[in-house]
Amino acid sequence: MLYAQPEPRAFAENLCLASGYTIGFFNGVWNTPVQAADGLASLRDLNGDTFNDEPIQYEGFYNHTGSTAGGTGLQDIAEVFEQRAAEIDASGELGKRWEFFWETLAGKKPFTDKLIELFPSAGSLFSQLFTDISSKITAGWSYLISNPPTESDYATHNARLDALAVQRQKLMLVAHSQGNLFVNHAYDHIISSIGPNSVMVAHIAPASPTLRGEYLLANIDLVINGLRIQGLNSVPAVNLTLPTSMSDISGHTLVGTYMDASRPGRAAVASMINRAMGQLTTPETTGNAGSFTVTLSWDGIGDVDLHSFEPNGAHAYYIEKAGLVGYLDVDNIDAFGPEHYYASCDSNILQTGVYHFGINNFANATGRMATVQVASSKEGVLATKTLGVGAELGTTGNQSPISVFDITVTKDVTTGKFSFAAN
Amino acid sequence: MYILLRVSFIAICLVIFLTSCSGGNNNNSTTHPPTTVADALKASDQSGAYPALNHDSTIAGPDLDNNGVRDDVDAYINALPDNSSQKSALRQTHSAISNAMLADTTNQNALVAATRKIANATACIHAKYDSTTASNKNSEMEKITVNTKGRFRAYEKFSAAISGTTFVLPEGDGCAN
Repeated sequence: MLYAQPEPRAFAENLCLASGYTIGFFNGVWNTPVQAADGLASLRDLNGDTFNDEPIQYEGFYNHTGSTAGGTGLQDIAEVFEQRAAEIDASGELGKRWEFFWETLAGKKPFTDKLIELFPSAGSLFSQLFTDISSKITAGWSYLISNPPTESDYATHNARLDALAVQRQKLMLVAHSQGNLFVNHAYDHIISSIGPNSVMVAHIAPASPTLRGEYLLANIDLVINGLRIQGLNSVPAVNLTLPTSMSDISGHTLVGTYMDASRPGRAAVASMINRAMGQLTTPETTGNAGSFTVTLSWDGIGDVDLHSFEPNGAHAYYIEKAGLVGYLDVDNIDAFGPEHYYASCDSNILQTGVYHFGINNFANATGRMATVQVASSKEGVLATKTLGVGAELGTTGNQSPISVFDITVTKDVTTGKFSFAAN
Repeated sequence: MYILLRVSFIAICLVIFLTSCSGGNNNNSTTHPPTTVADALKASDQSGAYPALNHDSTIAGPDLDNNGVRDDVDAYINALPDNSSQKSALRQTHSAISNAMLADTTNQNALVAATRKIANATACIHAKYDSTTASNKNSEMEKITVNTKGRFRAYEKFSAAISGTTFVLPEGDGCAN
């Protein structure tokens, strides 16, 4: 049975964001989710929602720990707080109040300042606590450089970059602090797919051994310059002169220092990103945005196929690429992928129900690991799975591929809003 | 005689009044500077310099009106001079962080949903305040929400669980109300 490719027509509702730019932010490791989201939102405040009349989407590529860093960085810092709090206050009251812990990591310290105002002797005690924590942060940086994250740490990020590239997003990758280690890897992964004209990098406060774009490093950045003092030769030269400020004594944080509205770092960051974005061109890929999309990639040579079974019974795959709702618009038969399915952006065409996705090792891919990622246009990644591609089955695997995801699409009867859930 | 008794009565009342206002038996710390950090914390609490925050052993804390906001945080937000839509944004951020602390870290859909709430709440705060103030408010909400060791551990567990994933800022302002 042949299924016609959905034809564009007037949309009842467009379920997709328009294509344009994605600013991807790679946060400093041990940033909390709120801190990482805040950094991304601050970048949106700085750069706005459009560039050259095209929309900008903002996406956080979150890393709290690298697996080889043992996942304990912030816990180590918390232990320093506990120990020092007990020394500062033997009664244990200070140690119960973790508001003070967060203030040791922040620029502004209103609770601590009030305490020192009432009990000045506490000032020197807190000073030692801040010094200890700064040392931990610097030590953690050195450890991460010596023990970089592994491929499993990058898998979801890589898959997302693959999907964005297939969907012809121009990629502007911005990194702060340890995030620069992750952005280098991201750049190296995606550049082979879309070329250097479609992805640019801006480094803020880097100490990574190599750089992939322009950078900014402030003279007052105690963390990064502290690494230089410790003998880390990869720290680039200072190229940004800033006055110190009590809003961030460390001189290192993204929002407190580099994007501080009262100092010239903010304009420097904006200029650096603008210059890079001005050079970006649309990738020469063939994928489309969809209300939801599924992207398959694998880690070497061979032909792995993505199979999409729609709730209406349609089966979209390399022989019959069109379903009733979606389309297999990228089919790779050589190596690495990607393969890409998109579901219609037209709310009149998108169907509710369960969509089933699987993969088949068609040829020469035995032993490979595949990554399959589901995302909705407006809400980002829903799920990512990495799995073996199984035995080589050729056409015999077409009707019974290895199951990967079921995507349940529902529609709120009151609001008409579609929701997507991956299982 | 009557006058003498009346004067004596007044004198006795005056002595009692003066005694009760003196530093003899009271704990007015302004007359005795704190000598320990514990005393300084107590003095700050009593003077209202610090908000009265909940530090119990639960992750969620008390929420007697079931509005999704811990009661002490609600009181803190209500006392701020910010406008009503700004206060809504602050409550949304607190709720998002609370939700993250309570998320089932073995359930991918729960993790995705919790991360989305944080992204939306952050976008909302940035829509209601200028950028610098928004970042400070985010930091403040995180500080007073994740304010015990138990809450920190739960939050840290969530953060580690979503490490390596991605999230997007919402198309609109992300505000729930």
